Amino acid sequence: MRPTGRRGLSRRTALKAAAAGSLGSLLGGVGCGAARASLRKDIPGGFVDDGVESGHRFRDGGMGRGAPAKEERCRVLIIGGGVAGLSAAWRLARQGVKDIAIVELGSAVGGTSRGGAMSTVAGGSLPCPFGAHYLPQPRTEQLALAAFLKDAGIATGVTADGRVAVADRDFVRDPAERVAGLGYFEEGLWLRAGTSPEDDAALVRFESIMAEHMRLDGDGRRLFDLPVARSSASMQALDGMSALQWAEENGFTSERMRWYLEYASRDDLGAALQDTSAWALIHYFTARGNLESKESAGYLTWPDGNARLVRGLESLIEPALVHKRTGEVAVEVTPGASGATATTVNAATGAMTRWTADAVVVAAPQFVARRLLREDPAAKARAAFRYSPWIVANLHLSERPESRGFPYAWDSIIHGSASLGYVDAGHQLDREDERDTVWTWYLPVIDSDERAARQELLTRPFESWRDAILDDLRGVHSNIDDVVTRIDVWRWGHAMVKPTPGTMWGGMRADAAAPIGNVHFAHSDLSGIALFEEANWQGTRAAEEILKGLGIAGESLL
Amino acid sequence: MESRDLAVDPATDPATDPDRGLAGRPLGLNLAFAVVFLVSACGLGYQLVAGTTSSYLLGDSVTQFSFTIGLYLFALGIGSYLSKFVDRNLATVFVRVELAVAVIGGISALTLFFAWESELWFRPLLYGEILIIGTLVGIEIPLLVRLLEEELELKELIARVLSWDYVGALVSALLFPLILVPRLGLARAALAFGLVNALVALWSISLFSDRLSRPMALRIQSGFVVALLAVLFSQAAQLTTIAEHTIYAGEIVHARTSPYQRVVVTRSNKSHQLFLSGALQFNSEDEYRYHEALVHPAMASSLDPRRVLILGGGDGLAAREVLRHPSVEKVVLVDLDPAVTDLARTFQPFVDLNEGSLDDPRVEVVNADAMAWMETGANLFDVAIVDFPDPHSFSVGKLYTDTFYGLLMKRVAPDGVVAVQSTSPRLAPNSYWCIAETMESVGFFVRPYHAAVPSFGEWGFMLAAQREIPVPSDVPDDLRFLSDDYVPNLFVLPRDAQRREVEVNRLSTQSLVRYYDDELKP
Repeated sequence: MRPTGRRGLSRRTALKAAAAGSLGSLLGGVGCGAARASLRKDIPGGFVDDGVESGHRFRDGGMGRGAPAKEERCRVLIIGGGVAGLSAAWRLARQGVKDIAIVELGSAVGGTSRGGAMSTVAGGSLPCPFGAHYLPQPRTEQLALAAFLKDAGIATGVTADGRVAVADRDFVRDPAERVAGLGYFEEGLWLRAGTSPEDDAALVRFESIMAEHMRLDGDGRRLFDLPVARSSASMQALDGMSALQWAEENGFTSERMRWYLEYASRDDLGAALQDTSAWALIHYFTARGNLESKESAGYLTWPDGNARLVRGLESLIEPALVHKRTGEVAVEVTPGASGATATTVNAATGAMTRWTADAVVVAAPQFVARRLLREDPAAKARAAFRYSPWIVANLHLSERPESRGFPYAWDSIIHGSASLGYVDAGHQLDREDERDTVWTWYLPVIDSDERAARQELLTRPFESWRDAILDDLRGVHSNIDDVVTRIDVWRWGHAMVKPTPGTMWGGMRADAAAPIGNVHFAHSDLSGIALFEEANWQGTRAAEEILKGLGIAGESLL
Repeated sequence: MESRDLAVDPATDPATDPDRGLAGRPLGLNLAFAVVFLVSACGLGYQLVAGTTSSYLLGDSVTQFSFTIGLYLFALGIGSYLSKFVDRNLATVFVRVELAVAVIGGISALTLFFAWESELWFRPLLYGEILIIGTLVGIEIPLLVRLLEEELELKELIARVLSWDYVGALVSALLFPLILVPRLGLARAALAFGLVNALVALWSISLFSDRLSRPMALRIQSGFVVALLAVLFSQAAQLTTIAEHTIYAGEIVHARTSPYQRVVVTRSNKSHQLFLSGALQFNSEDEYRYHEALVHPAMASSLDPRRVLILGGGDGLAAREVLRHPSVEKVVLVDLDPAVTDLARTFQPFVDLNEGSLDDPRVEVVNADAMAWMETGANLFDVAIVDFPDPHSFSVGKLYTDTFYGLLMKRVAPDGVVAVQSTSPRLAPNSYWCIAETMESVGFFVRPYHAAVPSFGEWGFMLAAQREIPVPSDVPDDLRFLSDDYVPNLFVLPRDAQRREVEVNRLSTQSLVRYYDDELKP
């Protein structure tokens, strides 16, 4: 074992600590009930997630038996109304393709970028995200994303340093983030209280190592790029080790650095350091930076998070859609000699539809895709994908509770918590005259045994989540129980693909992304990293494969 | 347990009874009465501290003093009653009570100052402190009487204890307003009383040393308390600048905490001052200078000011100036806080000052967030007067951003004029020029100007329009500050307020709040 810092975690303790995972530390283990129950037992709320039940019925083979009742024909059928599926439809519609159909298992499109609203004290409603909530300001070289933002009327031009320009109010308002140690908030993410000069020096050293990774290789490719597919292959050795190994080999072993790195991997990659590819973690820190200034991108965000982008996609594809069905489960896809067929079932009525299309896009994660195809050359690759569950809870507050130290910011982080803290959905709104707001609280479930964690996620009653969430927040807001009026909990069983070591350059993503006849695949998991940028690119890629097959010419946005 | 008979029992042997022994010393009794004197002086002192601090901070001194005295006397009663449960170690209990009073009473003013910002905790803390101090002081005198009961006949004892008790109260009541508060300030006055209590404890240890089981331990404890209070006393100036930064020079005549801010009105030298969250908004003595300078240059620059928008300015003073112009048909005043606009409508000194402007039929008052309000409407105004508090917080800072001025521009007629209060060009030059820079970034033509307002110092404004406008000159005749000749002088900036390079204030950077914080951090 390598020597570790005086206050650093040894490898063994680190592994032990991580083995407990976020569920263990948040909920205090099954049956222990470590979370102190709310002082107010009457805080209402419940689970607001959907699609779990019908998804499981499909998984367990309880759907799609019997003869199809209805035949439908369309140009392109898109299975999955998440960002990848909507982006595929957008790219096709942009090139004039009509008669596109989208089927979506959930009650609305948007996937993990869905948003919603909570009722306000004054009788209105406050928008809030159910999942992803921001988009780093893209560079104009991210052609597909830049084109979409322009089409959606969000982009206003190009900045001097080569990024997509947007209105100032689409940026996160200042102050952006704050972090609390021992209940006292400081500005930023790097907690200064209790930080030693060695910790600060380590952060500076880490940042300079990251800056060194922001450059081009001999072929003019960025070492780490967005989309991932454009990255240089020269750094792929990093994919062979975990981020934890990389951190230890580079001497980033102190408690503070470990927390900092793991916060990044939990927040953006949904995984503990030992389950994260070192390549993926460095990609997170470097792929968006400006090569000259090394400056990172600003964040674009909206009160309901990336649901704003989903609405943009929806309105752009509206004219080209012949069908948009929600609550509709695809049960089978078959590539044909010309075109492809698919069967879908309405989850509520059981009514079946048999689709014939020139092409089908399976814009679903690989654990779904592998159950749709009877013969699948990439079955093994698809089975290797791992996904982290997440809990996203929206809390309506009659007013913001007491808070010590730096004032309220967009993102409030609690140092040492299993959660990521919370984002204030009211931060981007002009409503000082209304006191209430909504907080979106995020818990990436980083447990290495995802299946067990998922099971735990679905069996825990709402009250257990409510108590755990309030307990987490009580450490920084002692009177939180007095101001929370409602808690809506969304359980994401498969929120993000996990970029575990070997998945970024191991070949399984390429295998899974390869089209089978006229069946194409589009999902952020095919990029290995669950990002809006990647979902948008994967959808664009699948659409351009189809455009090529249909003989429709156009400039590539890849 | 039965309380002990107050009569002196001559059969009790002083040598075998630990609760005896002063008679043997000639000075003992007089010293004991000095203790009574000091204890009651301090006891009244805490009561005065609580009453003064609460009326200082909450206003309404009749109520505060009435509550404080009533509660305190009641607590004395509780203490006296509780004293009957003390059966053993009377002297030890007395010393301990002294020390507790010394600490709790000594820091009472400091804790109240620090707790004042909290609407939730201030009153419970105030009344809790009064109850605890009163109860402890209430225990003291009965204990002293019992400690001295062997020394004197009951009628003599009661007469002398009570007379010294009341003399102590008188001396304290005289010293407190005449010497202690003016010389020491409230926080140190309370600490001084605490020190006296702690010294009394130390003294009592010598006085009753033969009745104490562990005098050394008590001496150490007392020494510790004396040291603690002495340190706090020496640091009190520093602590109170932290705690008392919002304590006002004048007498508080109105204080209310709205959901948005703390609204305080003070009175001094026959003038009134309005403070919002501790920051002076106006002083009735010279507010006319500020409001004339804010309003009339813009009104003069408009060809025909009929529709006027006032953002902020809930005190109605800018509206008063606007209404001096007979051409005005409609004034919309948007202020977030109903507590301020209600005050301007109902508090007589303010109604006198703003000449009832908010109840003028031409004026419509809207209580809303100015930014949210501007996004919802579409009607245009000839003149917009922007009178927000200084950008001291992120929520106010957004009202000075390019996004905000972009919205403002859409609500002003093409030939409309805007005036913006812009902090001080001398005290906060970066903030001042940041506002100019930000307004220009959205396309406003900006003429920066300033005026001397004694209560604020050199104060700055921006006159802006969507086209180049000349320096105005034509103002109403009946003004107290501005005249046609003087107005052009406002637009000449002194050398120490020249333009400097600053960033545009954006929602995503809040540069202005950061400039302002750097420049005007107390």
